[in-house]
Amino acid sequence: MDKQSIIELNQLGLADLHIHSCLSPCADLYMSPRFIAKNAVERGLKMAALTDHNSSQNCPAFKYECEKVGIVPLFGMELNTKEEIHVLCITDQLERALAFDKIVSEKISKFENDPLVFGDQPVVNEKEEILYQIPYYLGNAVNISIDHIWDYLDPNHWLIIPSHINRQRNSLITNLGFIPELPFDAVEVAKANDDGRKMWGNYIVVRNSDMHRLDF
Amino acid sequence: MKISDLVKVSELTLVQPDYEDAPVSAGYTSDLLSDVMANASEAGVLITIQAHKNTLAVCKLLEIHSLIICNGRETDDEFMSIAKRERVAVFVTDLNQFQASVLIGQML
Repeated sequence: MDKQSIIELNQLGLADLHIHSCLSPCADLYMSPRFIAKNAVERGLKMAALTDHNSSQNCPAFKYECEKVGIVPLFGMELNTKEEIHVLCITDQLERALAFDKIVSEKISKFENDPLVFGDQPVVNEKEEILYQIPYYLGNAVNISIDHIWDYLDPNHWLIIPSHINRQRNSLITNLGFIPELPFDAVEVAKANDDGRKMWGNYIVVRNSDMHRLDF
Repeated sequence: MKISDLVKVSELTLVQPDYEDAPVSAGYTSDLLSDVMANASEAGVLITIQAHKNTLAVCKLLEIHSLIICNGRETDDEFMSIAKRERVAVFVTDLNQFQASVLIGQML
């Protein structure tokens, strides 16, 4: 995977590396893989990554929809680590994403999802039909420490980027209080409080939509 | 009170006994390490569920030499070896953070 090109595309505004589908309990239900792919075209993107909370199960439909409209798809998830820090884990190979999804589904602390409280978690196919719902809440922490992500993910094939590090919750800076020296490919800065910097310490800054609905 | 006084508490199990026996005149309870860093400088004991090496980094920074890991959370070998190196006593308990805080608070 050419990680540098992906980061350069992001900096040109042509690659969004952080998008949630309807599978994320906090996202709107119309955020189907088809809707996201079409929206990516409308936004003038070349590349888009589907990063639901702790799950990659909408990635097969996302691959199909992106290829149909000429968007380069990336796959993975926004992992919620043991420290409750959100980290984008992104690959260009669907099989790798699904293999990691399986590991995460075994290591997430299971707590039955109440759709009325947290929202629905539907897995959909390329016809936009709901195949099933994930029964446990996907927002929970996964028993993988931020220091040990690389035990599971080969850096030759994965981008590892802590999400919205300048945010007040589920972020590297808030939850740890500091940025540990780890081989992150970049750090993501959220729009609120973004001072426009290009580097954060030794790390390249990326900016993404983190969209859960249209008005992101 | 010193850290060694915590060893006598039946609800706490000492799992890392190689520690500096520092005085404990206060404690701090939090699972958000940025909050610990900002507010726990007077704490002799940190009560938390966060059993990973970054917690020990914060302990080192604030010179905290005892940790109580609540809710029976597991500690791994890496965590234990760093705790030993930094001479931080590690206790585990099935109590939750509130119960452990009340217990320690009554001893102070």
